[in-house]
Amino acid sequence: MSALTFAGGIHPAYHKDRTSGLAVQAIPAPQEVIIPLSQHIGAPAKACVEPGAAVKVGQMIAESGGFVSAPVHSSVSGTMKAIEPRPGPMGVPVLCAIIENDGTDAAEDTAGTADWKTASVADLRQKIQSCGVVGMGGATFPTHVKLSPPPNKPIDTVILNGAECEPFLTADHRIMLEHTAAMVEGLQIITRILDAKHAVVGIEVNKPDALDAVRSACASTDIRVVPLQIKYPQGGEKQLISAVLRREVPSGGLPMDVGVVVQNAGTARAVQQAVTAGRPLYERILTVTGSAVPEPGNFLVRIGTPVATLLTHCGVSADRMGRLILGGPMMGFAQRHADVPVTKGTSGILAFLETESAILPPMACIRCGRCVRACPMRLVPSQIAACCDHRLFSHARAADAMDCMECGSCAHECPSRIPLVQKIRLVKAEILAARRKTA
Amino acid sequence: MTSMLIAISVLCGIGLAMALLLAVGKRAFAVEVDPRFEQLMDVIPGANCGGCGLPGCSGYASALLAGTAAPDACPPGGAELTMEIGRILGMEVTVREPEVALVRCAGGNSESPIRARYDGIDDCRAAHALAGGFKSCTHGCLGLGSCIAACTFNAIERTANGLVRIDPERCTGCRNCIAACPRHIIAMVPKKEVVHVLCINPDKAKDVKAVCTVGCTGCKICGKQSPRMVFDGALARVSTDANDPLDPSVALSCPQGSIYDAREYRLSDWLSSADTRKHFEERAAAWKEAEKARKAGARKEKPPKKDDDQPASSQQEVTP
Repeated sequence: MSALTFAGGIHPAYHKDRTSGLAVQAIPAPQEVIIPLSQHIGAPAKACVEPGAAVKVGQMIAESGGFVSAPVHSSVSGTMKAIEPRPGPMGVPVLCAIIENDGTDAAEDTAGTADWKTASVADLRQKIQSCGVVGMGGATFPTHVKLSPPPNKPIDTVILNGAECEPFLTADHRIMLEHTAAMVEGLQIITRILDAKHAVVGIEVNKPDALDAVRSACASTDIRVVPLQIKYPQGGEKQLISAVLRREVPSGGLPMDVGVVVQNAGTARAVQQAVTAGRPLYERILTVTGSAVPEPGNFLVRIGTPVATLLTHCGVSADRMGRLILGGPMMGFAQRHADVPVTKGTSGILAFLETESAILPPMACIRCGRCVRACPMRLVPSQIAACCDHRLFSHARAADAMDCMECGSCAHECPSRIPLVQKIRLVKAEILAARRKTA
Repeated sequence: MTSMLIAISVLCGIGLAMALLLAVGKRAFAVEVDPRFEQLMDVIPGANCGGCGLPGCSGYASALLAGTAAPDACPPGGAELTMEIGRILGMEVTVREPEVALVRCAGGNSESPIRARYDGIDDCRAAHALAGGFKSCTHGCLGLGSCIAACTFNAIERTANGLVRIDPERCTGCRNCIAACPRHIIAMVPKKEVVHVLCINPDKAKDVKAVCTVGCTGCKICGKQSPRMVFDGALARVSTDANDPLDPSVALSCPQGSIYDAREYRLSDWLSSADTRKHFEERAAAWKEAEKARKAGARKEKPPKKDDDQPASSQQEVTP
């Protein structure tokens, strides 16, 4: 079977070789964890433990703030020191629970549902919700919401995203290799909850060992494993659906509109742990790498561990570091300091040397059309960016600027180094502001 | 030779016929244009700034003739234009008080330091949307110049200190910059007003002091100097209600130096010259000393006055 793909996309330098062969290493829990109460898209969680109280590993410290929300659990045992605003990964202070670790790792009693094949779907969904599982690819959308499609939108296919198309990141690769059985079981649970007929795992062909491992794990099941071409953004929901099923999600729509739900490899593992062991999401696997990291690797990290602790563990000296990014290099968030915690959505920590993070001045557009060829959503980025320059936001809207998912392919390809995706992001913000004003 | 003559005469004939047709057409299909439209177009500035809210200057002229626009709606034209329009349209007009735009922030890079490196596009809106901007103060001027791009009259310039300044002489009051500023720092002020509070940070004193050395803390000391200083929560503002000028002590009394007095300093110096700031601080210190001495004198004189039961006249007697 030849590798599948979508229209458009780019081939950035992948830089995955440094960490793809390194087994996941557990990092000891730090002395103090900083756990943000809003680690997901939707309503922030509400703290339910008073400062000064003793907490255990896996104890819920903040309850869900609504349907589109997720509870937050303690990742260490010890004492809740405070609930106060701390610098968050998005640059603005967020409300965080500060917990001092007593080092005993006393865990909350949890019970799983061993026979998930016979348990009621509502119970499974409830389990996933109470364990605070969110999308672990970076968008952090609460998983139980994704697993509750409206009745008029039946789901026929679940796609497990093993593309990991962002350069540098290898965490999902290691999950597929080291936690294959758990991940596949998680996919089966998701398929059962959604009552989907088909389950597909899509993996880029630059991970042949992962392809083999998942294939052999799926041999006795009816899960299909498909190889995908190496291309960015192969792991984008809409691109993955296009590659695997040849279906197009309508403009402004969701994958459920074409009967599909996409879940990340790490999310499937978290679902399996939540359902079979009742284990809340309080740790995750991530990659620490980049040119400023002397000892890169894949690590199992408690949520709330300060990024600075991880960087020290990997031998990064602060004065050599020119740029720090949480997430992948294409869609991650640049940080101004390392005093931010690891959250449920932190798929990687990238530290680069100053020499590698130069911003060169943009030049005039030469109408080469490379951005148009690169755009996986088949938009015309140069046109939307021109609308931004001339503040013609209604024209940009007519050019479907709102369909942009900000993957950055256009800006990556531009030979004139025009910050296309940044301009489109501004256009999108302006269109949303105008919409709010009229609404 | 003859063929040439034929060609010439045929062409001339066609030309004549067309000219005749056009002449007849002009009479037959003539469009009635109000002669006042041309007169109005002659006096309206022609900058097409959109300050009147209508599509261009001709749009304004048509709206004036239709009676749907006010004769004082053109900010660049000002009082002169309003009088001219009144003359052309033969109507009574009231001249509007001229207004100019003002950037209400004096916290440059040395007063409100940069908290993060910003590598994004040169647009305040993009910078503001990215985690509240790169400046310590999340209300202060980012200085990337979205307002400069919006200004049709070249009235806005960057200062050396990472701020922008609007030249009140060039500003026509079209308000385009107000809409461009994502932080709503720019506001219209009466052109004759001389004292301004250059801060819009509504936070409490502690939070303001943490991010800027010239931010208004809402301490209300200026309010004691002049009743024209009013307060929106923890933020001082010069009210536009009264017409009497403000005492210079209002600016001097501000412990943060957030109040700018146009009679004493040029705005460009105030925003970016350290010498000007130093000069101001010396004057403010001297004023405070004098004020302290005056108060101390007043206190000394007070106890006997209490017995006399004449507290109202006490101050006048102490200060010569």
